Amino acid sequence: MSSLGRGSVGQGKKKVQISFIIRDEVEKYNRSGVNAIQHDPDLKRLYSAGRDSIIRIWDTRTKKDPYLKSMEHHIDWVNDIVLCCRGRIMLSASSDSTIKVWNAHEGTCMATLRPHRDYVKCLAYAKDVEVVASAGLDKTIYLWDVEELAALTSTNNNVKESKVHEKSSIYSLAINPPGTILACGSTEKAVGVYSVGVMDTRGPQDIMRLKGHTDNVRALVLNRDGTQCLSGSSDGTIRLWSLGQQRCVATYRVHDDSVWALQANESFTTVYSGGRDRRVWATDLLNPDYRTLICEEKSPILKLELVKGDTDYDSMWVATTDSTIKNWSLKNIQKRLSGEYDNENIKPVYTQPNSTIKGGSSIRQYHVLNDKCHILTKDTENNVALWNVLSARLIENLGKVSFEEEIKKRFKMVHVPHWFTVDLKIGLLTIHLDESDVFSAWVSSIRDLGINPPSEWEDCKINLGQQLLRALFEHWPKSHMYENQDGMREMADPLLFSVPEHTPILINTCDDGHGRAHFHPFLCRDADKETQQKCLNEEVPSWAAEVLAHKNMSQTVTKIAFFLLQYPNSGIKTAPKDRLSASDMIQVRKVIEHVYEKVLRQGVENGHQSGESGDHEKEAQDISKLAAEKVELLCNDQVLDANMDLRTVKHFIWKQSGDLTLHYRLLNR
Amino acid sequence: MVIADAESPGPLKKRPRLSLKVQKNNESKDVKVGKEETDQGGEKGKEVFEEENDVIERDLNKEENSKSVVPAAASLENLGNTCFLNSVLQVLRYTPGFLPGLELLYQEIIQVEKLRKQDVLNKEDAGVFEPLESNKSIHLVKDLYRLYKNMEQREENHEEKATSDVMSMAVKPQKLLNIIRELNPMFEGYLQHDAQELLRCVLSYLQDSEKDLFNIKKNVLEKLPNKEVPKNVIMDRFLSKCARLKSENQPQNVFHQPDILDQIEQSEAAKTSITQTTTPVEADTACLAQEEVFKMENVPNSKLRTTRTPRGKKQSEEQKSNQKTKQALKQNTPRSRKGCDEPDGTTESKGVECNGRRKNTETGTSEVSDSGTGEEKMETDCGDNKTVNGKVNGESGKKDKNGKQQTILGMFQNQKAGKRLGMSRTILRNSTAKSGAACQTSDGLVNGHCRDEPGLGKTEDVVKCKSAPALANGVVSGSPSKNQSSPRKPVVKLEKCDRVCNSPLKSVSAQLATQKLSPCKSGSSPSKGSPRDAKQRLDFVVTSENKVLNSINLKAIKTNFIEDLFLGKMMLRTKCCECENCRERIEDFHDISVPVRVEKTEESDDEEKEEDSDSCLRKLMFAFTEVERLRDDNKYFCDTCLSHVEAERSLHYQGLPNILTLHLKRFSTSSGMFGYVSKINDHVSIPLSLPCLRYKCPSPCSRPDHRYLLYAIITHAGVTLTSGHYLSYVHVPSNQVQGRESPRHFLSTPTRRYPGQWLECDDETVRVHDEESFLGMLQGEEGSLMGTPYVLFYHRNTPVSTWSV
Repeated sequence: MSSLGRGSVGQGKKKVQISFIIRDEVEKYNRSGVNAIQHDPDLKRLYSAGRDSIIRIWDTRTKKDPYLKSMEHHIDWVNDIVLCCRGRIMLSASSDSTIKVWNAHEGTCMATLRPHRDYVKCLAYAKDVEVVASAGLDKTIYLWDVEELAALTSTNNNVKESKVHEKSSIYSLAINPPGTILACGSTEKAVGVYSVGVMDTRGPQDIMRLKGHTDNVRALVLNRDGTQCLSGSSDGTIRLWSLGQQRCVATYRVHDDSVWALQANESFTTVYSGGRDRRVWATDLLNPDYRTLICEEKSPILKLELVKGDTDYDSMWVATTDSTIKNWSLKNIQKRLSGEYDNENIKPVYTQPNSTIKGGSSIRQYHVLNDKCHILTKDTENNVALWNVLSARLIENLGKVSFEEEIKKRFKMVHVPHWFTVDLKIGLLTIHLDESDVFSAWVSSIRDLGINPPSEWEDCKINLGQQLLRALFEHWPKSHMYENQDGMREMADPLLFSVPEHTPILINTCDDGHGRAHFHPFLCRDADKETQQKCLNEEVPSWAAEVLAHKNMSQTVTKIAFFLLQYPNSGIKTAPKDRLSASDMIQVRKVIEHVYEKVLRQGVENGHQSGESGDHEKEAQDISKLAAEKVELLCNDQVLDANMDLRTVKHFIWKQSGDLTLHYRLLNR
Repeated sequence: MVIADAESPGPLKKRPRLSLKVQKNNESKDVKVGKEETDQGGEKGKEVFEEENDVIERDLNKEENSKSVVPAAASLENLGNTCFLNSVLQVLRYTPGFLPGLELLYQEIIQVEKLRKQDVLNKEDAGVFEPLESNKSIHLVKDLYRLYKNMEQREENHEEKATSDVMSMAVKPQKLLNIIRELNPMFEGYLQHDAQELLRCVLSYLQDSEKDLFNIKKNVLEKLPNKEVPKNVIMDRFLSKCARLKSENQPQNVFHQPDILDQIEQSEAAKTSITQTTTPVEADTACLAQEEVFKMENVPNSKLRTTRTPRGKKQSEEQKSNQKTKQALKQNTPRSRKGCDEPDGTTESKGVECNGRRKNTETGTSEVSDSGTGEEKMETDCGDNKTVNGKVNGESGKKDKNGKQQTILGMFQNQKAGKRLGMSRTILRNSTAKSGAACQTSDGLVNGHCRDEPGLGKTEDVVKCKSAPALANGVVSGSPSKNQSSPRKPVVKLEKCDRVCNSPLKSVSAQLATQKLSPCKSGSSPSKGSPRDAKQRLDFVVTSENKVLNSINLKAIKTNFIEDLFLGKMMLRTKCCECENCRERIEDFHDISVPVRVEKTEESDDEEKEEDSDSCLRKLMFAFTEVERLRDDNKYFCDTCLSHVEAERSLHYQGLPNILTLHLKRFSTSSGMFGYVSKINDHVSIPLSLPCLRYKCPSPCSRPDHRYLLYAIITHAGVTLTSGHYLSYVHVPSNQVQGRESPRHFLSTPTRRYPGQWLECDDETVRVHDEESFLGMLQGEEGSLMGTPYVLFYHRNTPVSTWSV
């Protein structure tokens, strides 16, 4: 157990990344677009699956604060969700290539299915037989028995699955309620139709390809008996197919752009459609002239969810790439002749939604400041904010100011190597730490970084990556004691700072060869829980374990080579013996002292130094002062600030690849 | 090349077309011309011209015989596995629009060299003439130009050379090879090289030279104190002529070196005078006068050049210029039109207008003038130099009449006087002096001016130059193609012209003027050419000038014919499958690499696969433009989704080049052993025309002008890249294809000999195939092509003249 951290898992080709998200403990609002919504008519709840990786549960009965609960277990976009078993079980499909089984009432994750090898894009639910189909970019369709999934436990984790391979990435899926017909839409630009025997051992049988669309098929609806199919495509059309005749029986051109969402009423007489043109239309299938523009959203429409009223559907939830979800009434929509074919001039029936579930803002832009510790971001509402990576916190919300101006304003002439990468795909700051560069940033003082270290750390060199890792794994018991070479344990150094306990941490293992990623998400504070400990002992990559549990921080510091010449350059390049080398973090001040002592006072020094060693410290201070008064350093004819370090000089002033050349000159005062 | 020059100085290429005219002209002007030439130092070129006349008649008889001996198409000698070079050179030679572009570029180089020389003269009075040859890519242009010139001359002299015992009409591309090797050492050694790579290199060097030349020119122009480019231009022309003469080491030079300076001065004086006179006069008239002068200048220049070195110009340009001139005529010169009822008159007026345009737009952008002169030269080369000149003079005269300002007339008169006065010196000088005198009313003043103040504004110099050319024109006109055998004769001619001009004055109609002019011509030198011919030629000249003018408007304009011909634009469009936003990037391309084997994509429909496995070029090309999917581990980072998503990447041809080069990727490293480049010998059926490739057009695009026609193929026989043999098949354009009214072809003589046929250029050997048999070869029916098609060349299915720059 003791050596688990050290490469317990075959680390040959594996690339392990440690990531964390900077966020509030409770994220009450959707942070980004909403990919899918499901309505539970019994509990009057709405489930929304967001691009921020969180499934949220909303109470549709209260308009004030509808937020009930978050279901947080995915680590990437949640692309689709279905409610099964009368709202008891929920399945979710995500771009993290997993399908999760949830207890929808509790909001807890019951199981994770990982058969897909790429993003899982869509789910379809056959109500009568409790079967769910899943498909995605790995071109594979899986069929799942929900009852079986619901019965999964950690010991009984065998799932029967049947699968079908398509030829190209699947973006839409539909199954009729009895679960006899399955349709999928893909970038093949065709609709594939399968017949499904009830848990037929042979799996679904490919019975036809419906060709006619000229672009990706993004939305599908099947009628109850599986004789008709509606498809919405990126080519802007909706097509009605007769599966009996295996042909397209009608084409509806109500949208100006791609059709991304379709719903039909149970009698299959009206189709509701939304898409990239931000409009929601209701079209009569038998008489396409009867069509109604229900509403116009502000962003492209991703999903429609019909809500049943007393008789027929009387309202509809609309999810868009924006974080707000709106409910639109369908009551006043009679079958009426729209008359006009010019989409431009048609006014929607409703301009105000029934109700709105407010969304939050998502970060769209970021800029890492030169200290490689602070990040400026700009979100969808044009708010600019300043974050600190080390403490994983928001420092300041700057409001609606100019992002570019703020970047300029906060420019500091400091050069620190990159040591992390930033990701915005979930609308929040995600920081990735990679083995290759996580330990590359050394700083001589972290005071400037907004952290007040204990005084004994005042002048120590600090590795940002190391310290951050330690803060992230603060609660992992293994990191509390160092294990030295002899197996003895010693107390770990005190932490310089810590991250919020709710910070989600993710260990992402990726086999280089086959792209099968494995994720292990946990919260910072959970690292000391027993089950978590066990996992962590296995999952923490060796490169992190080295610094966390073994204090084997490689102290190798990047050296920088430079020449010291007198200014003005006499034109004679002094012999190469003057090529010096020092840590790239060394400050110009130190070099000045060096010049003062070694070059200028060489003669005098000999007698001087041997004399009094008693007040050495004092002398050192004096020298520093003296030196600063008498010598200045230049690079590229620019006088250097004494607090600048050499890598900054090289990066901002020298700006060349060759060895840095510094000039010194005496100040005559 | 030198050899070639010596062998075939005369521009024989024009014989077939213009032979009749030439003969006439020659009849009338022969004597005088001959005299002039001898006087000036006996330009070989002019002598050749004399010969030509005789030859032409012979040609007509011989043509049939000659065909049976060796095809009258120049070939290239193999200098040790250099067939890769030869095949490319042959293809370029038959590439529509390439030779005229090269010609323009070459003229530009010459001009810049003059400019520089002038610069040197002004600054230091030192004769440090730094040739541009130090720039290798410019050197390459010159060598290439000379090579083609040589080939052309070979072909012109075909009748003489091609006896039954002569096996080939090969020219040695040794110098060119050397310079290419200097530029890119890759082509050293005696191994076979990739013709496609060479093509790319040569074209990029040509492009470099255009760029460099542009920069040099800009520098030179900036240095010049007086920035009036036109003047400089003229000077440049003048100087360039001189330089050419020098460079060619031909004793024919009209102007001896010492004379050049004098001439320049004189010309400067004349120009200044002209400008002065013109300014006070009405703008129109002034323009006309200037135009006339310009014409005059141009004509003489052209003549001179032509005599020395025949140059090929593009029909297309001529056509363009003609069109432009016509337009110009319509728009600009109502007056001139009035005057000219006869076609001659119209042509003249057109020319005038063109000139006027020139002057108006840019009083003499050097480039323009140069190009114009070049074109003119070409035309003059046709053999009607005399007539042309006469016409030009006549035009000038008419215009004078029309333009009608006494000042102009006076100028002409003065010119006469000046000529007479200055006759003691070389004719040219005289002429210059005359012109100068005419302009300023007194030569002495002008000349003195110039001499006294050699450092005067360059503008003056320029002016002088212009006048000098004008004088030269006069001279030329006086004594046609042959250089001034005797100074007097030209003078006489000039006088006649002047008389004409003077006598009619404004009242004289254009017709009269033309008539008078024509008699003058005939009188001065018994010219065989009819006035109409002369007019036509004039038209050509004018048109060419116009073209030049229009195309080159600014002081330092970059020529970029390589880009114009070969550069296409394609759009790389990436569409995110999630948000369906598109990101488009436009990229340039010079050729399209076509995979010979299409890797069958999983997504392609079964039916299509089954259709046929025979790889047709068209299919291959569409395969190239097929949609590429970014997916799996190669997902695309979408700026909108801020996430890695699937995306479709597609290629669209947005702007297609006039010359479409298809490179069949026959050599691949993928298959076979390590580092071994294997060749895929799969049969690819090659269509004679390509369908529309534009992405915006509906899939069956019916527009014929969007199609492309095959005109050349480079084939490769052999197993590897470093061995085997290259040869090329080129299509000789039939005249209809080239353009309706194209007055003449410049460098590609065979165009006329074998219209519509295909030439198989196999190093020294050239075989002629007619269209049908070639088609058969292409389809592999009767016999087959030598080697496998490797690089295919298509040109736009529109007349070259419409390939506007």
